[in-house]
Amino acid sequence: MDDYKFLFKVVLVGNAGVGKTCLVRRFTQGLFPPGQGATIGVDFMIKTVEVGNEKVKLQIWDTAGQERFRSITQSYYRSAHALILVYDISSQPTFDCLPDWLREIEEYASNKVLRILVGNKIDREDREIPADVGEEFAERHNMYYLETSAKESDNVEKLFMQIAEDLMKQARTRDLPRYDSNNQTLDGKTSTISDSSCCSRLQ
Amino acid sequence: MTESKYAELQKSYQQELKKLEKEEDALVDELNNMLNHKVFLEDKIKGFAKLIPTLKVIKHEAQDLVNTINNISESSEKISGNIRSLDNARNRVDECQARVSDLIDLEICSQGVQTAILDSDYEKGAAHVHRFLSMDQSLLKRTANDMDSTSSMLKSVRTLQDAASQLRAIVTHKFTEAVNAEDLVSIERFFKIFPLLGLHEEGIKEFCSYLRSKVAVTAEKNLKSALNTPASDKRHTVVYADTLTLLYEGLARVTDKQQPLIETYYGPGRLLAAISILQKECDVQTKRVLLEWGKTRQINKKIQMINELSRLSSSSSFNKIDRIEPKDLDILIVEITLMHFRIELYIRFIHRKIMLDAEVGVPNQEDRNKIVKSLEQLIKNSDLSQCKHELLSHYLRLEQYYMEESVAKAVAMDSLETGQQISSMVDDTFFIIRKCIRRSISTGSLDGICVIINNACRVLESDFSEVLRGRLRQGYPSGYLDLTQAYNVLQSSIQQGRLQSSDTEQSRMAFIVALNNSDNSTEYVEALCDNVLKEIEQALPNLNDNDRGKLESCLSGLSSVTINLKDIIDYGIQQLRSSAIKPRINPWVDQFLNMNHHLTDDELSAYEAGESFVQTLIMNLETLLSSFKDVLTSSNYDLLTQVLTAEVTQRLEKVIMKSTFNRLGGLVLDKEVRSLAGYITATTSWSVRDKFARLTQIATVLNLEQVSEIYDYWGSHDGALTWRLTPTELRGVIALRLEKMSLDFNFTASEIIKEGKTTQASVTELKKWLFTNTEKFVPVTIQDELIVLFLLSCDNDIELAKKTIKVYYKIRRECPDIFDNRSLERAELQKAFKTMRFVTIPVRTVNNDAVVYISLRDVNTSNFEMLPSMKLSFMLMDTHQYGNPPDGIIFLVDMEGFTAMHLTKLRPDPINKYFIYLSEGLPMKFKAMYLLNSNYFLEKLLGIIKMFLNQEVMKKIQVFQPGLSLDELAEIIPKQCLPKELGGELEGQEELSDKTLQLLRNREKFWEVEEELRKSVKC
Repeated sequence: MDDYKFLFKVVLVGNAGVGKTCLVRRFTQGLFPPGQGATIGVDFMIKTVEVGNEKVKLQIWDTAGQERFRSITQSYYRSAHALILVYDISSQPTFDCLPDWLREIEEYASNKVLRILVGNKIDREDREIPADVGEEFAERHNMYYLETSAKESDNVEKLFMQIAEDLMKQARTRDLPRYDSNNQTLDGKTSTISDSSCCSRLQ
Repeated sequence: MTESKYAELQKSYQQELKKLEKEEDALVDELNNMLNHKVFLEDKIKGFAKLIPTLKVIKHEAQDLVNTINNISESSEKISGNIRSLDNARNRVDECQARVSDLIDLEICSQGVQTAILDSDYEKGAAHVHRFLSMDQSLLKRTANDMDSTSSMLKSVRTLQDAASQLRAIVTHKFTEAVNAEDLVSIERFFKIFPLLGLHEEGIKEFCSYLRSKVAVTAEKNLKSALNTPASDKRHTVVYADTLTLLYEGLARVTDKQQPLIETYYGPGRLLAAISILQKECDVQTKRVLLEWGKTRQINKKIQMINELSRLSSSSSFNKIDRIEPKDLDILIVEITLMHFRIELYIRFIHRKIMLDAEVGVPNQEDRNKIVKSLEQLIKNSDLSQCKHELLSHYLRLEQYYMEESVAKAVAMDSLETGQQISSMVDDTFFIIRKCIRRSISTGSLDGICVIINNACRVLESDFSEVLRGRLRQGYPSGYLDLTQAYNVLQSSIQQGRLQSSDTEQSRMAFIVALNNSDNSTEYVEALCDNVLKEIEQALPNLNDNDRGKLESCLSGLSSVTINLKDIIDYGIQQLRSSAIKPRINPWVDQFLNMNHHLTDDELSAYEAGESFVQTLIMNLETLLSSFKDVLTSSNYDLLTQVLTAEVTQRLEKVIMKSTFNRLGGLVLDKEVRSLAGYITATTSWSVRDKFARLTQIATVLNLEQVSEIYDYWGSHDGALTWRLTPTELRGVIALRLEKMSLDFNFTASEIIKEGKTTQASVTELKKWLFTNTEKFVPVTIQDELIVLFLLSCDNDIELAKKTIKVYYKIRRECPDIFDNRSLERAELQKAFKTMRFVTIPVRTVNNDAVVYISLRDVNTSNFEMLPSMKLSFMLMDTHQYGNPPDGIIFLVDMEGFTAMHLTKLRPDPINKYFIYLSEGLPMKFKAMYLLNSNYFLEKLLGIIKMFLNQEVMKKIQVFQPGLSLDELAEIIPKQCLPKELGGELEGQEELSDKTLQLLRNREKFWEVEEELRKSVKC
């Protein structure tokens, strides 16, 4: 076994072409390969990072954005520790779809899942969604918010490291109420998801 | 002045002179040297002069050599120039020959091509054109310029060019014609001609278009016959999958058949171009088939219905809409997996073909990568792939629904056959899940497999496990419950609507079965993971690392369902523990409290003969366990016995700590613990040693022959046990052995502490010291009251108290004649009592000192014995330590009648010990000893005693000569403490002696206990 203390599953979702694969590639391989083509089904990457001298293994599931892969991607929500919802700041339609994505997350994911909203492609000149609109949306839905550029490598490292740190904190102080207080959406129904899926500790 | 200056000058000149003289000497030496060398140098010069002519000769010869070499190089330069021009000439000749042969060929071709065309021998014509095309066109032009007969050659070229375009037109036309006429031979014939005319791409395009149309026709036919397949046909359910199969098989056959043709006439590496064209038809046909399929099977309607159902069931509880029977979907799902698998296979086929072709035909790595890339693009962008994804999506939706609904059904139809430990839902559920996963494997798509595994995981964790947990939550109704509990259980069962009231037996069974189901399910999950992995490895043998990682992650999710199930089992076992085990076991074990643990030998044998506590307990446990043994799975039964063992041992420990034991009681306990451990070991498959560790250790301690043997077990030496008991607990256990034998002091330690005479801290410190003290004659524990007495006698000086305790036990051990067997019934004591008066003065002095008074009654020396007298004197002191402890003790001894004969009866050693004890080991302050009516013999005696007593003690012994007046005596001891005879206010000494006897009798029990406690220390 490799020597890591925590294993977290991170799942990226969002419309096709918002740059999910590029974010993952940038983080895991330091590449920005243009002209990728659409992801088929789900892709799977692993990167081990260090948080406070502890090795944390991030299992990153990069899902296809296209509608016809929905039944594949949905099945990964349940075991996710963190969900990154990505949109393209230069494309209004990708932002407009966010409520649909949230509904899906609500339906399939654990209610303890850490949720992050990411506005990608800030390197582009033709921004359509101002940062404060994204931020406001995230706040309203009780999510973290971050703007990134996979192309310029802006905030990509920060995004994943932040997630690793948060999940570790969460794993340590199991189930304490998270982030800020105005969580009206959480805890609506009792969870049937077992705790056992959370962090596989290895000795 | 001047004189001195002069002298100075003179001195300096003289110095200068000396210097010059020295220089002169050196120069002379040098000149001599040179003269010596002159001869040698001249010789050398002569030698050189002789050499000069020789050198001249050499110079000449060298000059000659240089000239020769120059000549040679010049001539060789010439030769190489000749060779070079020769080469050039030959090249030109070759070129010329080629040109000539080209020209000849050109001539022949231009002549032949026309006839060939006229003869319709297109192969020959094309061969001519091919020859022409393979000529270097620019070279031809140059040749034309060089030559005179330009016109004829140009004509030939023109003819050939014309012929080429003519041929192209003809071949293309003929090919089309042949296609239209479906003339296979001609098609093939002209297909072969295309590359000769330099029309590779056109050839492939034309040919493949033809093939494409052929495929289209066949596909059309197949689809039509599929649509017309009667519903009664065996293959009707998979007719679309069959149609797809035919389509792909046809395509594959075409590819396989034409590939060698293309390779032979067009060269390798051209397969991609061919297949791209065919792919278009494949896309069109696949789409058509799927369209028809979707229409016939009403796929969209079904999917929509399923989506609606899932939305409704998640949002509200009423789902009155008609559900689709999962069984009805079975056939459809099979068909989808088949279709998907066919597509998958065909894609793999194309992939393999093109890769092979590229490997053979394209040597350049870069070009090959380009081909791979465009192949991937071709596949990825094809409608075929799109269709495949859509099919997979449909499949996943349907399969998910099928799995959920079927499992729900299996749970709903759960039934238990008599004699079974588990009910039908476990087998059914895992059968369904296995079937679904297997079916997903048959799609050939790893993503699809992963999704179904994820879904299986969800269904097992939430739907399935929750049902089990729910059943366990209803509890195990126990017949031993008290009424209110039973009522609650009943209430809740009725509310749940699952149980009929009053049939607790049934609900017990439901509980047990749920527990067994959970246990069985963990095994099933493990087996499922293993099998699935094996099957996938078989079905998809060439997984790359990334795919493997994906699969393993999903499978690990599935196997972690066992954690969930183990939680449920744990929960259930805890339920059993609190409702079925604890309430029963406690009263059984509590019986222990009613047993006597202070046994005499007779009682011991009686106990062993009769039915012992542990036999009853074991019998009860046996009955309890046997009611579970057959109904629980073996691992659940093991868990139950573990819980039971923990419960029994804990409870037993508790009741042991509430009891007290003597040696034989401890012996019995040890036996009982052993047989209990033996019984439980025999009933289970795991080791109980650990669970019994504490209990065994407690029994061992209580079973010690002597309490001090604990040192053999305690500590860090060899043979020391690993203790499960803390030192405090151990002390508590030891105390159980001693508790009943407490010394009666008629005061308690806490009273004295309350009075402020000593502190609890001091008592505790001494107790701690006792526990770790290694002197074997000092007991591990001493009663608090005795400790208090030691502290008081030492003015709370802890170190002094420790010393005193040591001396106390040491002397008592060494002098059994003085300290043991203090029963007044003993003859020697009775005799001593007759010979002497032993009086406990009932009144204390103003300093709260106690007084004892001893005098001779019978002066007959033969009746005097030393040791009993000493013994009695100490016994007198013990009568004083009853109730309020005195501050000190004063001895008043009347020596009247003490004679030389008495002296002979004394022995030095006991006297020595007596006084050491008195001064250093007494749990009371030794204040003074007053010896009245001294005489010569006493003085002698004291002289001897002085030798081994220290000054301190000697000072406390005071001797008074006979004739001491009563007033003088009263100054030493107050009158209220003296008998009448000595002028005191008390009764006469005989009366006092009688009363003392009574006091001594009252203390007999005390001595008995004291002796036993002291002797529990092994020496």
